[in-house]
Formats: sequence, structure tokens, C-alpha cells
Amino acid sequence: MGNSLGRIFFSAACAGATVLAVVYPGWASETRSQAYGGYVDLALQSLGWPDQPVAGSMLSVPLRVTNLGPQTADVPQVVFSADSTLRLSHSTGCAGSPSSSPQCVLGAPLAPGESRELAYFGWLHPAARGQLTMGAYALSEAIDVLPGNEMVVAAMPIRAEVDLVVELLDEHPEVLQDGRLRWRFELRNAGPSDALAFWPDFFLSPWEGAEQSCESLDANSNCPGGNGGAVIATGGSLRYTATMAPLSASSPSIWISLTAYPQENELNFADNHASVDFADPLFIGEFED
Amino acid sequence: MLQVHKACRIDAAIRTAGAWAGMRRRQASWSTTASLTGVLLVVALLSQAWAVAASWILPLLALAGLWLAWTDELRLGAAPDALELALAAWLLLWLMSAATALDRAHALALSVPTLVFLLLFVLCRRGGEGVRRVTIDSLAALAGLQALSLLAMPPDVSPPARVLAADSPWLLVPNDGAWWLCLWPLWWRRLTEAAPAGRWPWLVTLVAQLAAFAVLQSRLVWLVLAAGCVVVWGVQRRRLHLGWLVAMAVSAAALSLLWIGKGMSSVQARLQLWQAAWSLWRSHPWLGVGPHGFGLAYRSVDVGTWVDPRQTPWPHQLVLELMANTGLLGSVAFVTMGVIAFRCVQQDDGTGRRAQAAALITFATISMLEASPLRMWWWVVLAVLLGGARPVQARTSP
Repeated sequence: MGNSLGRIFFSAACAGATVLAVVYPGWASETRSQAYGGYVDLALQSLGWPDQPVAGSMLSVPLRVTNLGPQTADVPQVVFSADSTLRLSHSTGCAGSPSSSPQCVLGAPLAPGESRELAYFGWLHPAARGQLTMGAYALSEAIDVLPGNEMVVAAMPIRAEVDLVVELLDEHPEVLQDGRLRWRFELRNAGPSDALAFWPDFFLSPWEGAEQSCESLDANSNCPGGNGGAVIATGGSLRYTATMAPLSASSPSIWISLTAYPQENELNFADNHASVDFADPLFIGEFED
Repeated sequence: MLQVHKACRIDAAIRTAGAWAGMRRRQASWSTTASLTGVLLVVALLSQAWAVAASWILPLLALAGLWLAWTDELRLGAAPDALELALAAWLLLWLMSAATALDRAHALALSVPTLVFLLLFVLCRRGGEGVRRVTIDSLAALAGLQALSLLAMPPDVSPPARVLAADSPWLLVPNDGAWWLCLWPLWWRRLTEAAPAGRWPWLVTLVAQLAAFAVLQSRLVWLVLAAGCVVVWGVQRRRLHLGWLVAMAVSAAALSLLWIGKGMSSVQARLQLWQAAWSLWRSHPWLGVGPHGFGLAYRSVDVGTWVDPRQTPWPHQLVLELMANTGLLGSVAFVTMGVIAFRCVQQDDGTGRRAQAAALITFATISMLEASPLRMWWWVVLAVLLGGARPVQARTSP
């Protein structure tokens, strides 16, 4: 009799515990979080930081830090991580200068529910790769030295630069049967990123009667045409052929200027230009004949 | 005869869930009841190795309890003994304190581990030796998992970062590794009882824990380890002198090195927390500020400039914490329960008494400097220690 009664009571307790586990599934994490001294949950929110910062460009990262609680963050700070490729010049909303280390220490404690806005300004080295990460931490001296309460990390993939190279393939023009002159040149992407949807800009003089044609030298690159611009994959090339009018008294020389402006943020312009200024007396003399 | 049959069925659970411990039982037989109970217990306790599964322990223990109750494996009809009555009184006062707490919702929301403790205590105490052995073995496996997760990191990772990266729900600070030591006497006893071929899993988990102690750099761990050695060797009168000397020498050397390196700020911070807990008890003498209420109220106490500026939810001293949280009534009930538990241990035979006494004293030592009911492991270890605080013969006899 006693065993049956005990069984009923104990079963009721077990059933109650099971129900409790269903209606309060987060009890274990709540118990754990409350046992943390100085526990805070920091959140980062973009106020317009770039989705894909470009290597070699100026960087502006405005953001908002919010303490979601439950405790006050005594020493909140935001830390950037981009190896040594990030050069922070100045910031707003941070204590001290960020130039020595890429981090922002918020000057005053951040109470639960409180937000603070800050912004970083700096420069990302052209060699920067991978992703630029930001972490929000709350650190302090502690009786039991706690790890940083790293609650959020925002990552921004770094877009590497495109490096276009223009190269003339013929030192002298080929003379066609009708007297027109033809040059070949290549546009090559030597950078680590694909050059996407751009319109190459070439200058041929004399322009009148000049033509140019394009062919792709690899499967991943496309000549411009239709509704789309040119695409040159990393390591890929486009070959152009320019056909120009013969030399004449009114056009005693021919000038080809090739300059590529493929991306708004391309940084290495050293090889992006090639030109030839051709005035062969032989051609002029033949013309005079 | 019926009792013998039950014992055999429980032994099957031991073979199923605790076979890795290398136990050799002569009269074991397989049964669905015991096997399912053992599996539920093992899964319930191993779930504590991962934060995402930590809450599973409550329904799994409840299921194990239901299964045992309805298969007549729990002695639910027996009259409660003194320890169980003291426990009931303490839990009742805990509930009363929660009902009068400064923040009742906070007190009750954080008291779910108390329910886990109650279920596990009933299972260990009324379910027989087999349930308790499976529990102890599962906790050894859990400790091994925790230790290995702490060790599986580069050597330059700091102890706090190591604890964070391990992401084990029971480990919040390096000192939390001390819970392993509470059960070392029981695990050591299981090791010595195991057949030679079955001892290696025990040795692996114990060695892993020792290595983890080294990387955690916790002074408390070494202090407690020394205290446990003193008790174990001290009870054996023939070795009292040698054991005491060895333990004291090792602990003094370790503590001196750690103290030189880590300073005294944590001791000063603890003194402030103790002072705050004492003041809170003075202002709420009977039922305290409510379970887990210390963290909500201690900042209102004027102790000067805080050595530790962070919010610290527990005072790092169990008696003071119980006094502040549950008042004089709650703390006296708990201490009474502890005294009764020690008296129960005295009834055990030689080996059992030594292991139980060492475990209880180790637990008490940790409680004086760190442990808190705000920790899940505190409740689970307490359930195991109290659940086995009576002689086996007295618990299983008809």
C-alpha cells in the first residue's frame, strides 16, 4: 500500500519535472549564464559599414554597440582583427587613439539595454586578404579570471584588387592588302580577383574607319557585348585586334592608346596603360607615290 | 529472493552502461528494465558535457525514475530515515525562502537544478547500489570528456580561455574542475575493485584529469587534492604520519608556487564577498534574501571599494551563501543534513567509509572556498554523496 502511494507521488513528481523541462527548455543555459560573473551579451549593428571592404581602399566602419544584458559591461571594447593590414587612423566614440592597436575601448560602462555609436576610419592594405572581423568584448579584472565575454563577431570578406595589364603584341603594324594597318594587343588580369562587367576604354587615332574586334583566350573570360561588359577571370586574357586607316597626309602618324579602367577600386595602375605612336617614313613615302 | 532478483537486474544496467569500468559480477542477468534505466542515466549525465544538451538531464532522469517506479525497482514504500527527513526539511525551507525572496521569479527560475538533485537523490538512494554505480561511472566518463576537451588545445591557451573554449556547461571558471575531486575517492574505490583488465579506463580518465588540473592552474584544486589525500591516508591509521607529511609537502609546494604567481587579490575579494554575505544575513536573518538572491543584493552592502568590480553572483563560501540566501533556518537545516550524512557514513564498512568520508570532506572543503548551489555540478555531486551516505546492507535489506 505504501509502495503504491509512493509510486503515485513519485510518478507525479517525475511527470511534473518532464512538463517543466518542456515548458522551460532554457533552464540550463539560464542557470549557467546567471552563474557567470559580469556576464554581458554585446551586440554589434552596422550603421553602414561596407559589406565587402576593398583591399587598398579607405575604410569607414560606423557601428552601434548594444549591451543586451543582463549585467553591466564594465570595460566594453570593440576589437578589429585583420592582421597588420588594417591601419586605423582615427575613430569617434572611443577612448584614446586607435592607431596603436585596432581596438576601441568605450570610455564608460555600458548598462543593460544601453547603446553607443562609434566609427572607425582607416586604410586597408592592398595585400589584405580573407576577412575583416570585429568582436565586441567586455573585460575586467576578476576574482575568477573570466575569459572575455565575446558575444558577437561581425565578419566582412575583403575584396581583393584587380590588376589589369595591357600589352601590345606587335611592335610594327601588319599592312593589309587594302593598306590598312592592324595591331594586336591583349588585356590580361594579373590580379587575385576576377574583373567583372567592365567596359575597356581604348583610344585609336585616327579614329575614322578604325575597327576593333575581341576574342577570349580562356573559358572563364568574355568579351564585352550585348548587355554585358567584359569579364576577365584571374589569369585570363582578352585579345583585341585593331584595324586602322592607312597613313595619309592628313594623318601622318597613328597613335594607339590603351588604358583599362575596369573597376572603380582598382589600385595597381602601373601596367594598365600601353601606347604606340607610329609614323614610318616608308609608309608616308609610299603614300606619296 | 525477490531482492536477489532485483539486484541481478540492476547489475545488468551496470554491465550495459558501465561495462567500460571493467566490473565483474558473477550473478548478472540481462533485463530490459535495468538496461533501459542504465542507458537513461548514462545519457542524462553525459548530456552535461555539451551546453546544447544540458537541459536533457531533467526529462531523462524523470523517465528513468518513472521506469524504475513502475517496475518495482524503487523502494518507494519504505519509511524515510533521518537523512531523508533532514533533506525534506531543508528543501521545504528552500521553497519557503523562494516564496519570500526579494525576486521570487529569479529564485524559482534558477532552482530547477534542485529538482534534478531531488530526482537523482531518490534514484541513488532508493534505487539500489546498481543505480548509484552507474551514476558514479557515468560521472567519471563525463569528467574524462571534460578533461580531454580542456586538454585538446594549444599549450599557450590561458586557463580561462581554455574553459570557455571547452564549452562544458559545468565549467565556468578553472576552479570548477574541482568537482572531479569530490568523486575521486569513489572512483578510486571503483578502480581498485575492478579486474586488472578493466582498470585502464579509470586510469585514463584520472590521468586526463590530473593533466587538466595542471593546465587549469587552479590553487583550489591542489588544496582540495591535498585535503582529500589527508583524509584517505588519515583514516588508515598505519599510514597517517607518512600520508599526512606527503600530502602537506606537495600541497604546500604547489600552493606556494601558485600564490607567488597569482597574488592575493582573489583572497581579498573573497573576504569582501563574505562580508557582504554576512551583512545580508544580518538584514534577512530567518529565510534570507531568497535562493540565488545574493547576486541581486550584495552590491547594496557597503564594503568599501570592491577589489573585484564585476558582478559576482555567489559569495564563494557555502555556509555564508546559505545564510544569506536561505537564512538561519535554511543553513541550519543544511548543516544538520550534513552531520547526519557523516553519521550515516560511519555505519559503512572500512573501504566504503573511507571513500565516502573523503568524498564528503572534499566536497565540504570546496564548498568553503568556491562551490555554490548556482552550479549544476554541486547539486549532482551532492545527490550522489547523500544518495550513498548509508551502508549498503542497510539500504538493500528487506
